Amino acid sequence: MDDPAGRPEEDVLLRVPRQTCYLGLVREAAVQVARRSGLPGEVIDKVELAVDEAVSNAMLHGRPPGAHRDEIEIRIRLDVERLSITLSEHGDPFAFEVYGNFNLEEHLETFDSGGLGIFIIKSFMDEVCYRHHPAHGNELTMTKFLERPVPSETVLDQGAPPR
Amino acid sequence: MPDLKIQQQSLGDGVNFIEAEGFLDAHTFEEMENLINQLFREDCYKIIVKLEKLDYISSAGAGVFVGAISTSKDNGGDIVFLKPSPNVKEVFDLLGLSQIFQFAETQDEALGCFN
Repeated sequence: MDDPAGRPEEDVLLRVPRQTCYLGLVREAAVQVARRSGLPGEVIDKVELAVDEAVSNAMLHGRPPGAHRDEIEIRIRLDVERLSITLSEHGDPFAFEVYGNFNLEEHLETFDSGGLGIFIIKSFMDEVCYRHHPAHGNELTMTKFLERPVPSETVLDQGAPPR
Repeated sequence: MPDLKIQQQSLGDGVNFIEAEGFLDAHTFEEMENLINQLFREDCYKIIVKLEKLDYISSAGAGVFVGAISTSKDNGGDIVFLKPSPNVKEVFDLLGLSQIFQFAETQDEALGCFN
């Protein structure tokens, strides 16, 4: 359902096994929704990379394979103000605020790539919120606020008859 | 599903050439990591990596090179990137990797980086 101004609203839910072969699928879904937001291409590239980093972290460093509920849920929501991606998974809690807060130059002197993913997420998204629920696990929400109106061709994609 | 294609060849004088095409992410990085580790086991530490056809790189992919460059340099070599695509170069710039890696636009220029 669209808002009165014609901007599309989307709510896409993906649930994928914790396997990196599904990474491309998640990236593609995020890009498809982001394209409907009217965000410029270079910003969509950054959203894609931020989503990749978040899902990769969960797949590579989360709960080991075979654990209970070994899957990741990704919810991609678009409304009049924002594009938000929420990642939920039953992994162990982690000190999100600690990771990625480093002086990049000093960090690279050690040739250590740890924390670069979270650094990217924090650099590329406008708002990042991490919570851990004892019962529901980790939840990471990344938000990009929309600054521009939706281009006319995107609005036409939303059910307009072909010309 | 997005994938990674890698081709590798020796250019002589201890220099190896890798061409990467496609997507270098958390799903494919081990392929690149294994190849570089194999070159290290063969005492090859001078590596040119052509990135012109690499469409996408994440920190997992970039981390392969970050983890390898110290071994390469400690053994008299280096890792030089040849013609990175704009998307890939942007990620390198963001991560500050442009400060620790050398970049070249031609193979001759890349070879000159080892002198």
